[in-house]
Amino acid sequence: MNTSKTSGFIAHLCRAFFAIASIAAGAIASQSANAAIAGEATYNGKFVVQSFVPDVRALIVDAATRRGWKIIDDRPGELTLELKHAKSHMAVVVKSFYTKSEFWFQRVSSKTYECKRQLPCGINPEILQRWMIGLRREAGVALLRLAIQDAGGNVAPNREPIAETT
Amino acid sequence: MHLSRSVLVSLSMTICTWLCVPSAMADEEMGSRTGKIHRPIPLNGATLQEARRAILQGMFYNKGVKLTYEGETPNSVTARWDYRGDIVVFDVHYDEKQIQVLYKDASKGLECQELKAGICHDGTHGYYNYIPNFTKSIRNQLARIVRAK
Repeated sequence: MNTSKTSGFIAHLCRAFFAIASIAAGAIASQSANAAIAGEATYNGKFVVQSFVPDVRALIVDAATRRGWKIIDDRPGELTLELKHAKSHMAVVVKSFYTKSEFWFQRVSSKTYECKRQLPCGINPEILQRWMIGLRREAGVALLRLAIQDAGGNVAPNREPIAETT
Repeated sequence: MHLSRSVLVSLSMTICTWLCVPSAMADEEMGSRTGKIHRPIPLNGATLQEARRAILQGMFYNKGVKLTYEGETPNSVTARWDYRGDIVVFDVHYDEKQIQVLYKDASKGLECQELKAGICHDGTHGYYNYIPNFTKSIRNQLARIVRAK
């Protein structure tokens, strides 16, 4: 009798433990669902292009050149951009894919160049990510300017770009 | 009989408290830091077009960093806030009565721990430090537009 009571109690404890564990697991899963932007998703999210954007390619070129990127290849629907940073000896190549309704950026490669023996010279992924985010941000602000004009508003004229050099 | 009536009364009071207190708490929460970001902004006579313009200009003239334009639907604008690797994406909804900033997604550093219907009830320090400026910026732009009418 005593043994059956004890085993019943243990079974009850186990059930309670699994119930709590499953609730906790669900809560953790729902929490992480609130923050999905990580890694490449920080810069390769697609922009939706509205009808008020007259020329998507021009918008990307303007945003890229403002951030110090150079166009190294230009094909229909695809631009290849490069950013070289003399101080850090890092270079990154990015492709921008565009249609009339959307555009996005994708990293192609990164390398170091003109490295010297005396100084450390390597790829810093955080800096590369910052450059990519900066490029995307510039394009997003260019879109915003056009959206404001479309809504009948006025914005201050675009100033000279600040180089993304850290 | 008398006992059962008192039991019923106390039971109904308990149920009523259980039902009413969470909404009162939600209002209280919306009245504090959450409210600074997510409380609806009344249009005060502005049209839908003017509401859209107020949101877009609010994004542009936000204190510190401009928000980027990610796209829009007939009654909402998707805006992204980027600062030093931290990202938050908002859906800014608007209708004939009000504008409301709703949380959509974020990077880990600004993750919302308790999200209910686009309203973040438990954000990070950075979320409550920077994002109220955005809602304030929209409110200011809307006030300017309404004043100029």
